[in-house]
Amino acid sequence: MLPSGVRRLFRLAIRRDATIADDTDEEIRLHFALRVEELMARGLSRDRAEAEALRRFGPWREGRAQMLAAARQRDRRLTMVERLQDFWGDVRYAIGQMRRAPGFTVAVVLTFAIGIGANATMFGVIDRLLLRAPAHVAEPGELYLIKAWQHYAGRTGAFVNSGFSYPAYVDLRDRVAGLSDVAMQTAPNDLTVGRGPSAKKVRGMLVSGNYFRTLGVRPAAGRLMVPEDAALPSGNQVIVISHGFWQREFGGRADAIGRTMDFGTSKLTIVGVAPPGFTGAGFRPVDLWVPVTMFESLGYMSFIGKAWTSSRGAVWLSIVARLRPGATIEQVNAQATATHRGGQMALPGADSTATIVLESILPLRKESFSPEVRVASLLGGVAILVLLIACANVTNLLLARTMRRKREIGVRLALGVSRGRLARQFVVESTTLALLGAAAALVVAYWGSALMRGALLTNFAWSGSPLDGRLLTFTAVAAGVVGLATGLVPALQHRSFDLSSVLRDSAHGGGMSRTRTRTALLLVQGVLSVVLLVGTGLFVKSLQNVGRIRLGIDTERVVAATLDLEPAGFTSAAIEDLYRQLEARARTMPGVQHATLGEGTSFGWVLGTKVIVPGIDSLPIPPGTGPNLVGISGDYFTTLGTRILRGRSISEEEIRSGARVAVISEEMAKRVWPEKNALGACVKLVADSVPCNTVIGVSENVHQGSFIEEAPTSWVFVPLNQGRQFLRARTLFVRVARGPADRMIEPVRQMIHSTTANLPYPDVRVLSSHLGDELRPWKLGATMFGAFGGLALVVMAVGLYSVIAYMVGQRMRELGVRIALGAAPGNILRLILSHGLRVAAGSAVLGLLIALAAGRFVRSMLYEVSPRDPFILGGVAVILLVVATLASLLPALRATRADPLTALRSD
Amino acid sequence: MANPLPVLRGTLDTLVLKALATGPMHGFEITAWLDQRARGNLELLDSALYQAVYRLEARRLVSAEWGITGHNRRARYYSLTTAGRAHLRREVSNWLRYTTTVSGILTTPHPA
Repeated sequence: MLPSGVRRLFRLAIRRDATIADDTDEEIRLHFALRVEELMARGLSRDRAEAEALRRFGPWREGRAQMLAAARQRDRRLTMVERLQDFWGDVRYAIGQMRRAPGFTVAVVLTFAIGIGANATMFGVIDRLLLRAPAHVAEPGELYLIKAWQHYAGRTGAFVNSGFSYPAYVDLRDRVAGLSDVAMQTAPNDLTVGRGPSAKKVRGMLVSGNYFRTLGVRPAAGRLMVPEDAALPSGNQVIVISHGFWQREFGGRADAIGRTMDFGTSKLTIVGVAPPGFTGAGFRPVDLWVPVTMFESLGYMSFIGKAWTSSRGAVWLSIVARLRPGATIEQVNAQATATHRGGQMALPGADSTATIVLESILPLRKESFSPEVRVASLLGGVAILVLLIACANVTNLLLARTMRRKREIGVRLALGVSRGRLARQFVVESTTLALLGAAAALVVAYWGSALMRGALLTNFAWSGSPLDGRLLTFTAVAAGVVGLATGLVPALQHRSFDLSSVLRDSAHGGGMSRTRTRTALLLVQGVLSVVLLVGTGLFVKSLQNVGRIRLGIDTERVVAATLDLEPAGFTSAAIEDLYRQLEARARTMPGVQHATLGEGTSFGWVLGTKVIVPGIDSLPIPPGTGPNLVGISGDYFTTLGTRILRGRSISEEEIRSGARVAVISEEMAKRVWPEKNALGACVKLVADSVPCNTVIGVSENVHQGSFIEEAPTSWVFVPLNQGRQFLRARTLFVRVARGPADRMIEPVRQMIHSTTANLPYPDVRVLSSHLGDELRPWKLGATMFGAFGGLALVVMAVGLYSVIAYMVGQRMRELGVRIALGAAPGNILRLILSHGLRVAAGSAVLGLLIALAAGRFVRSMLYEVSPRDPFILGGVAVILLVVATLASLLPALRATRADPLTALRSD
Repeated sequence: MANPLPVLRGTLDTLVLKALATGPMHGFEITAWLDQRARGNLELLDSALYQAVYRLEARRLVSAEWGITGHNRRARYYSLTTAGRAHLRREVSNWLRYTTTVSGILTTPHPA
């Protein structure tokens, strides 16, 4: 080490250009003088000697210019080499130091790995969720989603809606001058392909023929859809498949193009493959694209049927559009609003005040963010807190080591190594450590991303490795920044080293101010940990609260199975017969407690219906909350776990005979018959002319699909088949006797296939799986906050331990003296513990204050829990104190064993 | 006297190294040392020689330091580095192999 340090003392100053020229000219002058002297000594006259010297030098101007150039290049190379050598020396020195203290190195690298890894993971997620445009879309900044601000009768305020009817789409496509391409799409929906046990479910979008042209996509193979493919009335029987589907199902073989796939009774020919990672204008996973003209034969939203091209009431598609060059958004909004309002005049009762607005498809330019995006962004911020904690901890460890290396540093200073070089050495060391940490962080990010992609954000089309160029760049930059930041503190600290005192002092003692710095850093860690733990508590509590909502259905214990039979060519009689068989066979299956049939389900789609109550002109039910009609078979309420509050449920006999009875939900009973008992009342379905259904029972409230809703839904349950003309999709419900319900999925599927050959794909799932979308933001928040909070706590505990252990080491002699003077072990224990607890208490107070102040930012992401929940705040404080006690206990116990004799002997 | 021969760039570098192998010199001393031994057979431009020295310096085969001449003048003194010494050894042995081989071929007697 020494020679390099000494050598650097004589380092040449960096040469500026002028100096180089001066030096070179000085050399030339001397050369000429000596040459002329030499020649004159040989007897030449001065004039002849000068001429000869010039001749020997070569062409004057050129020669000098070439010399200057060579000199400049020499200087550049020498300074560069010197700098590289210095740097390399620093790195080698840093590596040597790291190898000498493997425990320290591992602790720092792991801390960095956690901090940087958390950020890399969240960067990977936010990058995909927010920062990137949908893949393969040409000029994505010019592509817009058309939305309508609408008012609904009976509800105040405007609601934004991206759903349109087909006629409304045609209006906007053909009559808005400022739009060049206007395409339509549905959300990716489950479609079933094939028959029998090999049948499967795919996610398909119905799109207009100009969809791919509008998005500006090029095929990976074959061709994409063209306008004729979806031209009315019937279009072409073609599909375009996604690159992922192509790889999965066909191994990426070229002969996949031209193959057919069975959808219901239709055979669709694969004509092309979309480019890898293409998911349209959004980010949801999709397997294939079907011309919208297949609407009916796919059985898509079968209740709309033939009316899909003409009905303005059926709202089922969304619209993407490109501006014509030169058109402004304001112009187009105005044009589209006029066109839309004009078209909607044809629909009685439609909102004539709807306003059309264009919204960019770029995630960052959207008006509002989905809960997932908001929670992910919050977690991105949280990851930064984790990194700050990690940095504080590493700085602390580095400081502790600087103390231990005081002697060595003093020697280097004495040898004349400049303080600037020494500071650079510290930064190089911390940066080398940070880079190692970053390498380990990539492993963390890899696993973290797998968790995020596979378990927490499943409704997003992830493609490609999480460790892509952007993530690697981010990680490298993050490592550089934290390396620099953590190295600076010790680098600045040692500036205050007083050389003489360092050399005079023994290795221990002194450094009280540095212990103070370290305690302050611990405090920062503690405060940030408290904030994270409070966040964890709030999200876990929200998740619990959401999970505890009484839905009126035991979603965890019920398996629902449904098949798209109509598009597969089954007649109504065959469908009814099949479901009856399924119900009967399900009831005899081992492990099944109850089984029943329902028409329309709480999860999936339901049909709002017109219900007439004689004597009441219009039902006092808010729009959007029913009443919904469900046809049921026997055991329906016991199977789904819906309680009957008053009266009774519908009997098997009544169902078989189609008795005119009904069960209504509590919400409906309260709204329609607020004063009296609803039992015995008369409800008429759809029309006044039909006979009464007598209300024989009132059920508890049942949520519809979304369970976090403003108002409970009103329901009317009637015997199966009474709503037949509207409700064609049936569902088999199976209540599992015990154990996890998902174990029954496969047996139910097999039972279904064994009933009849050539059935389409049965969609079988536990009802709770429908809740996944809604639970996701809280699950995401609770899991990641929990992970980050836990890590923060561990890092903080390790930091506290190391500081206290160091302090005990420093004061061993003093403690020995105290024990020699008769201090009881209890006193020593208290002395040391109190230091750790003071830090913890300070952190708790400050952290809770910050958490209280920051609470309002997360309030909207919580469910029925106040950001000031006293149990959570109190619990966090207790956890912190307990952890601090445990972390201080070990060094405190060591302190009580301080040997008075060693202490007194040592100097 | 025959016309002096031009010197190739690589050869010039080796010659400079050889000159410095005898001890540190400033630029003029190098030219004088070489002139004395070439006896007018080599065409050496002084400016080219300085460039050769600078190149060698950039390659760290030669190091430089300002010093004072016997006549009390400031001059840049050049000396061989360890790497320069090794480089010279290699170059000399290569040169000898090369010239022996080539002369051997060129002096093969023609069959009568």
